[in-house]
Amino acid sequence: MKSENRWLWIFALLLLCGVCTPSIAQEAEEAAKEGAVAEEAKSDEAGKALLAELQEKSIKAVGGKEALEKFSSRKMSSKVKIADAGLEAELTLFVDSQGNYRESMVITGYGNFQQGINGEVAWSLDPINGPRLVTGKEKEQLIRSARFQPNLWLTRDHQSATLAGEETLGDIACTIYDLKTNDGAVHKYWVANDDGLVRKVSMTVESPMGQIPIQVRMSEYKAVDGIQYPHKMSMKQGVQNMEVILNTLEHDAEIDAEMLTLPEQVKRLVERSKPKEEETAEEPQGDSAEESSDR
Amino acid sequence: MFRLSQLHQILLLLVSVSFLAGCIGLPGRSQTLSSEQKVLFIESFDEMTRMIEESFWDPDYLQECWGELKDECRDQVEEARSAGEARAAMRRLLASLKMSHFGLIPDSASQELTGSPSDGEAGMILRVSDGRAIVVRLEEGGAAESAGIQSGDEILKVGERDLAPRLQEWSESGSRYLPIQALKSACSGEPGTERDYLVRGSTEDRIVTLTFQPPSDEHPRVGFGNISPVPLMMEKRILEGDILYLRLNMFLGPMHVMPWFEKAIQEHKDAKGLIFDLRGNPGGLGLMACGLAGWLIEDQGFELGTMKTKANEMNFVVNPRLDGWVKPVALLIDEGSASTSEIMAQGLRDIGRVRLFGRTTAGAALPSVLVKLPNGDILQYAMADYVSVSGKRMEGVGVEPDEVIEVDPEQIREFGDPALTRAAYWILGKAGGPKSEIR
Repeated sequence: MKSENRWLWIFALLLLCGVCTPSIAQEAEEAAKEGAVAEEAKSDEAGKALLAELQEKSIKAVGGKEALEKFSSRKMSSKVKIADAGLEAELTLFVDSQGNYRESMVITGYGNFQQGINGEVAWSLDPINGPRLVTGKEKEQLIRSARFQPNLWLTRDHQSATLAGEETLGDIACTIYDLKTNDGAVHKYWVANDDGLVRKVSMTVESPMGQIPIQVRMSEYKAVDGIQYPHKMSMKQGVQNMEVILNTLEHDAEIDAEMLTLPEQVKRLVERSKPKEEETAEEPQGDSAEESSDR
Repeated sequence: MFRLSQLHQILLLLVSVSFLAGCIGLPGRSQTLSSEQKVLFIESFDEMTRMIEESFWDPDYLQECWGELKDECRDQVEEARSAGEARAAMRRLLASLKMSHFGLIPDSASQELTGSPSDGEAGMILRVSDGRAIVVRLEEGGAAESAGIQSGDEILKVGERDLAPRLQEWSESGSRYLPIQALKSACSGEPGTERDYLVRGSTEDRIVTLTFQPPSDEHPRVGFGNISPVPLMMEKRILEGDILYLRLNMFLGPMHVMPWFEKAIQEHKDAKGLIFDLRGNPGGLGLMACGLAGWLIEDQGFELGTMKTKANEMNFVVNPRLDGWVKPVALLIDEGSASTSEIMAQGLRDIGRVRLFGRTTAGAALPSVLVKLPNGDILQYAMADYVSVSGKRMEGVGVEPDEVIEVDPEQIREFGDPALTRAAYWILGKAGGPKSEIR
């Protein structure tokens, strides 16, 4: 009997240990988690603070909040060149503070490639692929790109910022920031130390074809109506180099009413896709009522 | 803070072409190089190697191919006495990769290659069968048809040159595409000039003199970046049995091609099926394969394949169009169908949307770019690998048809165009017709 008791005791001990072991591990894990959450919260706070600081700095650098809020729309035209491949295109853009956006790129011999946002509908239309409704992450990205004054949206379009180093571009000393967007993507910004203007951006963009890494250098900043705009952008995507030269920029210019209406082909697509959209009940793209009047 | 136009990406993507520009067989210029020209050639060599090294998707393979050869070829460029010698060294390095879409188009020859003055046509298309050059198609109203040449005839001599030894030489190269290009050159020349052909018909041999005709004004000329405009041919016919037949000679000129395709399928939506002829089509803008495929599929989320660059992967996504074509589709392919043609054929076959008739394609399906070098030459280089949705890599292999129709003079005489007839029989559900081997 004694031996049986002994075995029972050992069995009970093992059983206890068996129960205790994960319990100890769990406690340790929870403690670690709490620590990590606290650390994360602290870094989140720091990230948000840095983002707010960066927004303030950027607004000041491009001309100040008053200048940015003075106008309600912008019209731009640019020349796009891929010199190596012998290609050129004309790019025109319209964007307003109500969130309307229309961009059109005419490539000689290839036609008009368009993209836009009208109300809740984000779309693209081109002579090769026809009309398409832009949805999901791509739509979020398009909305971000189509902000009338993106500097005013920095803290709303991003979760946080972190310092990612320093680099001198040409003779311009820059601080590098990693900006985390609301959908989790991290974009790198090179901000000049002396004037606070953005000189380079590195990001991976969402496209129907997948994710495309792209680098953009901004230069030749000039003020238009008191707001600084880069008049030259050099882009690199894989082996391709592209240059965008800004030709004209007007604030609150008269626009064709057509700019604010959906192209007929897109309208048809919207009509056809309504039942499908209702089924999938697409989520709103972070545009709350209070935000929607100030894109 | 910063806005990135989404449309910029489109332009960057458009630049990538899947087009076999045809960079072979052009003699280099033999003038002696001046010291300034030599500098330009050396700069061009360095630029060429830099761009390829920067973009090649398999650095280990590149190193394996180039290794010490790169320095050796550079030395050859430095020592070259003529432009021809310098280009030969550059081409030697490109050829060591043993891949399509790596080529050099000489400055002076790029015009000749792609535009006038050699764009006069004899109006016949030749393919190789058992070491013989066979006429497989005659253009309606073309010089060859007017002179009495018939489909199924054999061409023995071009001018004074016997074709047989050359066909042998080309077949030994292992490239399915080389004879296509060479035979195309044999059937083209300066408009208004004449060339003799020794033709073997069903009963006798005869010499036929053909006068090269300029491309019809009906064909718009379309270019792409550094490439001079070339005639774009779009053919539409309604075949017996109410079948829509469309033929496209290259994937360029979207402003012409896309509305043409759309109009054809909208006007004939009651036809029993569509035969899309991509035989001899060397490719062009990869994006156009997606655009055309968009008319042939109904559902979202379909891709033709994936382009794998050194930095990322890009999918050839198809955007389905409203009121697209829902009837059966037959694609005609042959050894002259390259690049974008192969991407489209394999991609649509992967989802069972098309049935392929003809012969295995060129096996030259790499997305590439065309750039101007400091010496004025145009470099074409592949900047990505390509695999279809089913994981098939077509480079060097090609796309196999579902029904193989060999070049057979007797069948050609009987049916005119056996692959076309076979495809029509399939659409109509008819038995019999031309012989085919089903894969």
